[in-house]
Amino acid sequence: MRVIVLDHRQAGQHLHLLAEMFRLRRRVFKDRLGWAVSVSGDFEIDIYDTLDPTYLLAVSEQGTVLGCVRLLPTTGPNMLSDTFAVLLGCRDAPRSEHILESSRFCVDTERALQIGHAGVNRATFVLFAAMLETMRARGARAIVTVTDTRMERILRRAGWPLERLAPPQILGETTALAALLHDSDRVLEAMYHHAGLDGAVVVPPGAGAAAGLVSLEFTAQTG
Amino acid sequence: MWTVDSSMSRPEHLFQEFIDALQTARDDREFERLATRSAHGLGFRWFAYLSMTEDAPKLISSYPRSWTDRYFRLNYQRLDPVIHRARHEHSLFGWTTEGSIRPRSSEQRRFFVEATTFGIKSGITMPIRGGFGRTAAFTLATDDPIMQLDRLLASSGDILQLIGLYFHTHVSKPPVATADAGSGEAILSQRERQCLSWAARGKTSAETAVLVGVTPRTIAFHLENARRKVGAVSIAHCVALALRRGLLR
Repeated sequence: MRVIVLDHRQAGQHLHLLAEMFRLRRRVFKDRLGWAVSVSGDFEIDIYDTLDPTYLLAVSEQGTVLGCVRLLPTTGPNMLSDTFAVLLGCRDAPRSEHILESSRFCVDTERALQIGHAGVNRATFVLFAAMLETMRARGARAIVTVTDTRMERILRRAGWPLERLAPPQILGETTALAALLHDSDRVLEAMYHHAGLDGAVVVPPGAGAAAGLVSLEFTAQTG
Repeated sequence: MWTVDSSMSRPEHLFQEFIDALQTARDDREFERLATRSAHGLGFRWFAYLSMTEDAPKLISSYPRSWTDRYFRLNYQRLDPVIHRARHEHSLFGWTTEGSIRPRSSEQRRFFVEATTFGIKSGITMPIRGGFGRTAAFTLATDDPIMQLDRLLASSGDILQLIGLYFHTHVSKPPVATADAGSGEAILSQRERQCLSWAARGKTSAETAVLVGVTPRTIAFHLENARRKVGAVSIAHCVALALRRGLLR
């Protein structure tokens, strides 16, 4: 399993992965969780996908997308500040170069079959490690996210507990909340350990010479 | 800002160019130009994007103007068998004006005959579902009646779907989404900020008109402009967004 970092500059090169990611999001958020997301054909895509987000994709050796998450800066429009501000109670949405926003985190539990520590899917640990790596690479210290209590439990079990920004609220079918995930050496070490990664680091873009793709991948060792 | 990479195949290049252009497109003309380029690259002569919100359809297309003018003058979007099918189906489909979609009435048959006289013979259409019951359709069309649509659908279905969906999502995003952080204040005029500030304090348009010394119609005009600029769906939403973004003080 490896994580591929995609933004619009790699869209053409990874057209197939992009399509697979939108399909996975449809299966998870529309079909399985029943969220009120907009879907067309077998894809799920929304306006935040037009803001040149960064996608982290967990990809199997066979090239199957096993999980994904979408990251946006909080200095521009983002899901928490522009769609789910109600979840902040009376607080302001975080707006800082040091805070990224994550949304649409999901793992394909029908395809990602390796279960790790505390019953959490290995792809989940791999993505969490990639989120921490990306946060560091961008000079951020925290990730803010709109999520639900189901995901809050997974994060606690995985060893990366959320800091709630306000009490959860019921939105349609889900109990949703806004929360922060902080950077921490200890958490990153734990994610590497649980994911079976031997401390891989993000190779900065460009360092891999002309090999654009390789320079943007982290490799997870299965041994 | 084209990404040049010799390892990319032709459709990948085409998609990359499309995505790059979308990032910077600012108005319908630019959207039209970039989609026209992609349509040509994929071997089609025209593209047409039709969005049906409430009763006001929005069209961005490279079809001949004489055809689109006639289309809207005669309300053909209500008759068009391709649009009809796009409203009821969820997946990409191919069509020809001579066969694949059976016209249900003599009116529809006449419609297809007319389209053919403008050269429109076949195409591929991607039905799109927006929120709140809105639908849209992204079509690539050609004057080549024997184009192998099925083969193209099988080989390039993903790229066609992504192009249609990305186009729709970019065209329908609120204008503020493209504004850089911090430039929000500049987008509202002094009058718009003034009217919004009174609205934020609970004043009606009539009350604000007295306070500012203009007619209620002028207040409504400024508020509506502010709403559009901020990308809000109502004045209340606009006040909330403006406060949150620090546009009012």
